[in-house]
Amino acid sequence: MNKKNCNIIIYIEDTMAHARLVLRSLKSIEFPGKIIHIKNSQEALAYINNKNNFTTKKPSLFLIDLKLAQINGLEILAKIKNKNYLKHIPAIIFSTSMLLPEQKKALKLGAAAFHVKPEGFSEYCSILKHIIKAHING
Amino acid sequence: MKKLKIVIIDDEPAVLFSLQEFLTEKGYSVYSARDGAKGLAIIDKKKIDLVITDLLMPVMNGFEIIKHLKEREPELPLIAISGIGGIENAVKAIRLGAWDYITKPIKNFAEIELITGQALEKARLKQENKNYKEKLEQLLKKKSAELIKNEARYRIAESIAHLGNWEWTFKKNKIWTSGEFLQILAVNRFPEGNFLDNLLTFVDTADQPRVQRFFKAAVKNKENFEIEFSIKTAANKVKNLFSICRPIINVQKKVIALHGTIQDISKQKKAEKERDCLINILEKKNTELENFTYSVSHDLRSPLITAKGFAELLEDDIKNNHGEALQENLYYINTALHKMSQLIDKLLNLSRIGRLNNKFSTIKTEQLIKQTLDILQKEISRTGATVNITTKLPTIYGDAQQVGEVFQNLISNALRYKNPARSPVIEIGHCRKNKRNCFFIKDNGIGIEPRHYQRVFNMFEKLANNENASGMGLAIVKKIIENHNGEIWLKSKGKNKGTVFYFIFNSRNEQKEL
Repeated sequence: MNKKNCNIIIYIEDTMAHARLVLRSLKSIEFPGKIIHIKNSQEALAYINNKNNFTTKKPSLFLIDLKLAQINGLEILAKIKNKNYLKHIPAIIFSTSMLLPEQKKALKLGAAAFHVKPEGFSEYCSILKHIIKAHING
Repeated sequence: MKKLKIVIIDDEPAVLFSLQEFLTEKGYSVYSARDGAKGLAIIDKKKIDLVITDLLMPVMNGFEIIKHLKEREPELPLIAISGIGGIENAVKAIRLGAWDYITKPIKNFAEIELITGQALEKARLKQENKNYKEKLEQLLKKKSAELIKNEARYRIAESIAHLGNWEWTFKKNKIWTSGEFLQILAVNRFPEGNFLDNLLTFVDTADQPRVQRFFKAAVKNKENFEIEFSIKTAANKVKNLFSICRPIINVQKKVIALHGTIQDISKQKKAEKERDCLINILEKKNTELENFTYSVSHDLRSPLITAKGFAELLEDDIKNNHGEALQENLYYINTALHKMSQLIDKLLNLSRIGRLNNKFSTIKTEQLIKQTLDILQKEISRTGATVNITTKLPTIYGDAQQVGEVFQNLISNALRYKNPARSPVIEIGHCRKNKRNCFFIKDNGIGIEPRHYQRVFNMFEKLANNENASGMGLAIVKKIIENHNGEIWLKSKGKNKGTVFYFIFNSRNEQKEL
């Protein structure tokens, strides 16, 4: 196992405010790794499709917003699970609300988990702590 | 038992006497007459059952009596008395109508008893026969009357139920069809010959193979069938029929005929179609409602998450003296709250369409669009857009405010989703599609991929992540157009190749307001 500070989270989110909350939470819980924030679905697709992005160092986790403009989070998830060089990396869907059909679809597509964005900063921190513990340090 | 009455007519007192004595003793009521006139008088008065008359008498002989009675009472049995050797007379008497004869001198009383008895028995049988016949005729008359009445009832029942009957006997292709059957097909008579072939000439082409198959199966498998099909009547009217058919099977277990009904179910079918249509509309509304709940649960929560998250952060930052972060926290809280209030306004606006309508009126669309462009003037100058009205524009009927909103939304979308590399060029015009007034708004903006053609009309759906857009504009446009019984669709050649929106307002002047 590499040093912990080498962990990379790829975070796909097009709502700036929500992204800020996640980044501040990670800072607050002192996540030692690196976070790459991709700001829209088009860029995310381009990033995923480029194998070179993953040759030297593979990310430890994908965190994907469900309702992205144009290409939604489930489509991105499907694309990730379609790539041999990415499909073993845990991918988590982060959704504004609990939508059972979407949750089902996400798990069927191979999502490691489906989380609802919480109301309140401290809860953001505890959810992210939990995610990191379960999928990176676990 | 009542005694039978016999009259004896003879001019010889000895004969009269001996016959009278003998027959009285045998239990008959016997009258005697010395000549024909007296005898006939007795027959007139009493209800005589048998006449025994001598043939050769002065004044009125026996032949005359026979002739006379033959005319007046043909049923009355008569026995002639003839002298010895008078066999010719006896034959003549029988030819004239006598039932039998006895010969003089009267000696063989046993024979007399026998002949008398036979004649009376024959008369009784004849009478009985006659009575039966009369009774039978009466019964027949009564039954015929009932039959006629029942047939009338049957016809009425057939006509009320729109139910016709038919029967096809294979031997010699014998066809029977009921009145209502002919009525349903609008013909005076159904042609002779192969029933199925003749029926098929009325049946809709699409249904013909199925009808044929059912008939064949009924004969082959000896099974009843029920089938629905459409026909075109002789009067060129399309009808939906429901038919039940039953094969008739003989002792050799062979199908020798088919008996069936046809029922006109056009009305039911129409009602069914209307019901299906309503269910369809309802299902559509249901889906809309589901989308609505989905959108509300998702998109209204998004700013809430932001506001609550940053509010808590604000608290922390104040506590920890992170003064530099306060500005950012407040910015996100304010933006989120603003967004939320915008969304709620649009939601209210959307729910108002269809519920609260302004009065429909005639709208000069050219004038309306010019007003709309005035409202959007600031945005048009900011983006450096060129907006052209390229055709003459018609006058339509509708809710002027809502129609204005449609144009405003579509034009501001064209301005908003512009291609960053060039200034927007927008064309507004009108064409004819399917004989209806169709408007179009064409831009040279970012375009829409075919797979998103429907999605763009959903609530909160944004194809580009534009913070200023609510994702409600096209949902409102669609709702307004539906409110005017219209349609909206779009075409785009793809990314950055512009978009054309086509839309039709279909409300008519005579239409009642919703």
